[in-house]
Amino acid sequence: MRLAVLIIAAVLVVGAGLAIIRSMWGMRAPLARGASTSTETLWLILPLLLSVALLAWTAAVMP
Amino acid sequence: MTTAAPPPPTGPRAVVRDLVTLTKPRIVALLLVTTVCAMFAARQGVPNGWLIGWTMIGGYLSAGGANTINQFVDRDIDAVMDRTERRPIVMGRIAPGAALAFGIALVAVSVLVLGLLTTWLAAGLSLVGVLLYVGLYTLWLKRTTIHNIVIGGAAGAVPPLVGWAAVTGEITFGAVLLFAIVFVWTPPHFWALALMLRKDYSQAGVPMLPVVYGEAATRSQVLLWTLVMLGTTLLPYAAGAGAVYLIGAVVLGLPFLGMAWQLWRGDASRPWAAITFHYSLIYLALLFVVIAVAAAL
Repeated sequence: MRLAVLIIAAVLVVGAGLAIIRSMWGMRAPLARGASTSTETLWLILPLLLSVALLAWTAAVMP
Repeated sequence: MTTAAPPPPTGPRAVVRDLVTLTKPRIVALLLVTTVCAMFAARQGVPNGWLIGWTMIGGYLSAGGANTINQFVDRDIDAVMDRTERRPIVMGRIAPGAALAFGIALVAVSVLVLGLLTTWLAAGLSLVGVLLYVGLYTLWLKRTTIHNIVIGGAAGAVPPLVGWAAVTGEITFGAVLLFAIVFVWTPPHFWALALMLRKDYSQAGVPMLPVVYGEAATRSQVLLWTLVMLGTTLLPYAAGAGAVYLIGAVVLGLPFLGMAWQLWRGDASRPWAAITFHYSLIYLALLFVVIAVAAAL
């Protein structure tokens, strides 16, 4: 049961996370001083990377 | 002939009321719910009452100080937004320098309260939360990127870490999960609000997503982030939480998803941005209550 829930969670997090990146990829133009395309890219992908790390950590501690 | 606006109330009571307003008590209340419920989760039961009390006082002072400093920094844009134009600094009832000093004093006292009466890790984390809110969000990201509230949302996710650290003196996997839940809750919550205040943010030149890329793009992001949030709220069960938590998370999460869906569809029958925003507040509070109850059972 816990494995099934983890798989559902992974599908939701990774699926929606990839959709977020895909839909916002064209929105990385810097808007102001202090912004650049590379920092915008970092802000876009960082949450998904952290989410994947959290999924892996959850799998590692799952009873 | 025009009639002059009545002078603002003066006197000690009015000043105290303005100082309390600077701390944004309603927002801090929600943060304290996540803090206290995280303490129950950390203890896997009911924590000491005094510890809860001191953590709440320290947490209020810390978040209130951060909110006060935020209003000092943002006083220029607060003045041109309908929602914020009546704040004490903008109205001239509290001098900017006095507000800044008050905010810094609150943060300093909060560090002492948390450090001396709970744990120094809790104190340090609360200070990190202040620095994230003021430095990362307010001073850097808010005016420069559409991802301001996504990355800046880390600041609002710190209170559960503070609560956890106050009880255990350490940060473990469970604390990180609670941090993650608040972090991924922030985008759908805040972008629903930004949809309601699009004109305000546009006037102030704040690059909120709906201002820069429009309402349709924002509605899509609210739905996608709601899915990320729902997935993340399942992780505590996968990691060992009981069925009570799973049922609570799903029962609370599905209406959120339904509202985000209606918002994404552009259903004009009801003000879905406002409904989603208000539900998101209730959702987070109740989800953390479920976390606390499930831990205490």
